[in-house]
Amino acid sequence: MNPKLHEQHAKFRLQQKREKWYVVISQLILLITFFFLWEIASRFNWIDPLIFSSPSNVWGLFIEMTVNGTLYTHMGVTLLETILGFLIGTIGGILMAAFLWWFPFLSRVLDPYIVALNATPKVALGPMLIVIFGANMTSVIAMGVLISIIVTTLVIYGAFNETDKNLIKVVDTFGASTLQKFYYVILPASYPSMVSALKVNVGLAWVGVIVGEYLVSNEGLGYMIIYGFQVFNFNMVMLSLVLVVILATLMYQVVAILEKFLMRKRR
Amino acid sequence: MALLTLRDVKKHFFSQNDVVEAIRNVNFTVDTGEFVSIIGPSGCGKTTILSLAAGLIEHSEGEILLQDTPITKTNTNIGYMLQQDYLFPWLTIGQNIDMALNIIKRKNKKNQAYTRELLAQMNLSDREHDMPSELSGGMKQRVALVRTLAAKPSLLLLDEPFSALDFQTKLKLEDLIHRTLKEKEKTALLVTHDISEAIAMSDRILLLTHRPAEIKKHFKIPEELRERSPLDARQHPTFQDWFQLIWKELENLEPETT
Repeated sequence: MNPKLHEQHAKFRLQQKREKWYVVISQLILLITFFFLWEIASRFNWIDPLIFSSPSNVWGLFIEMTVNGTLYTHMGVTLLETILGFLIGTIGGILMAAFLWWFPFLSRVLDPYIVALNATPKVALGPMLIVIFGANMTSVIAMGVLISIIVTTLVIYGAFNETDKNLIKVVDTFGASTLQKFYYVILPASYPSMVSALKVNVGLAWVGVIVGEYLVSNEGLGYMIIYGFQVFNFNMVMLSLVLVVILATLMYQVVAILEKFLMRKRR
Repeated sequence: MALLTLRDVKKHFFSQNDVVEAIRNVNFTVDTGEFVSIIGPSGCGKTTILSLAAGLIEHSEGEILLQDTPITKTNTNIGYMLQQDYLFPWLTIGQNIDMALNIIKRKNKKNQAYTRELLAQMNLSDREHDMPSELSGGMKQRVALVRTLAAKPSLLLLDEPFSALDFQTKLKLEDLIHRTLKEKEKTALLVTHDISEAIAMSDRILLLTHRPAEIKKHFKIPEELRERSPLDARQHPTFQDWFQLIWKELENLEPETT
């Protein structure tokens, strides 16, 4: 390469690298400023420290609850519920979609009911869940499942039906059975939709589980929020909120990485 | 000997308000080893005839026979090639071909070796592990041919398989497919709206009317064109005369009645 071009290229790369760093540094500054302002505002009583707490108090509670171990229990319970709600909701939705695809008559019969269920705010069914499953973790997981399973069914069933008719015709000309059609064409063709459903369902599972814990539980991050609110311990509410944000983001990132991995062969 | 026979075949399509007569009355046979083309105006029911012969849809009346057995459902003895390659984008070329063997439950070393040999004849051996998106349109259609031939059909139904290709690729592929089918002694029924293509490739040409389809005319391509490859046939002095003849017949079709 000619030396002048080489120099320009080096300059270009440096510029790109620098810009990337500026973004990261700005992001960090924003985060620090937020906590700093929060702390200052609380110290100088610009905001009511009893309601809005302060980073130092939240940190203090974090240390305390970590030392006595209760925080692990709350985090563990919520994580378990969310992961289970997410998995059952997603896999269950895909199975239900497969079922509907397999029996077109049934799907026509059930169509208005599924639409109605989808439109229903699932949270409204909370009390029913408690009556059915009892006041325990199962109800919370059921809420996480309920909130994601119907929309997953609809989205995946839609993807099954939108499979390119000509691809189906190809296997038809070889005399494929229904099972072969599903296994060789419908399922792999809908793979991208299923993977993107994972991402949506992570968020939905969190909503379901936190609301579920509001309604019935004596452990978990949602419980910490509602309990802290009831005893007017807003340090606890804030700590739980911060943890929910961090954990939900981490889980979303894990699924995003999983998505990249699952889609690596597709273009 | 007739491999495919259509006798007084009629086809109606039903909808809530209408009964559409797609095929009024079609009679023809395709002999073993023969290459027959069906041409006609667009929307006249050419593809319907192929779908009937493939057993993908049922005819309303008449008889469709493969040798002496009625065709009622799809049959591994009949291969079907679509207008586009329709390779599965998530599978490699090799896996796309194996898919055919998987579906007919005949995937074994011997059959796989056969398909790889076909792939080599198509000059695509080195592409076995590539994804379809890495291949050109002509290459993909060659892979689709291998996939169709994997089931070792005796009859091939070709539904305008060259229509989505650029002209140069199309000419080359016509030659390659023509040669491959003759070598393997396959019988073929081609549907096309391209008169030149029909003359260059076929032994016989059937001209259909507008919908509802009937056979208007029957052309027997002379020896001097038949024995040549499609590309050479296009250069032959009589080729233009045949083109003119068929072109006039197409022009003279009664305008659509319905």
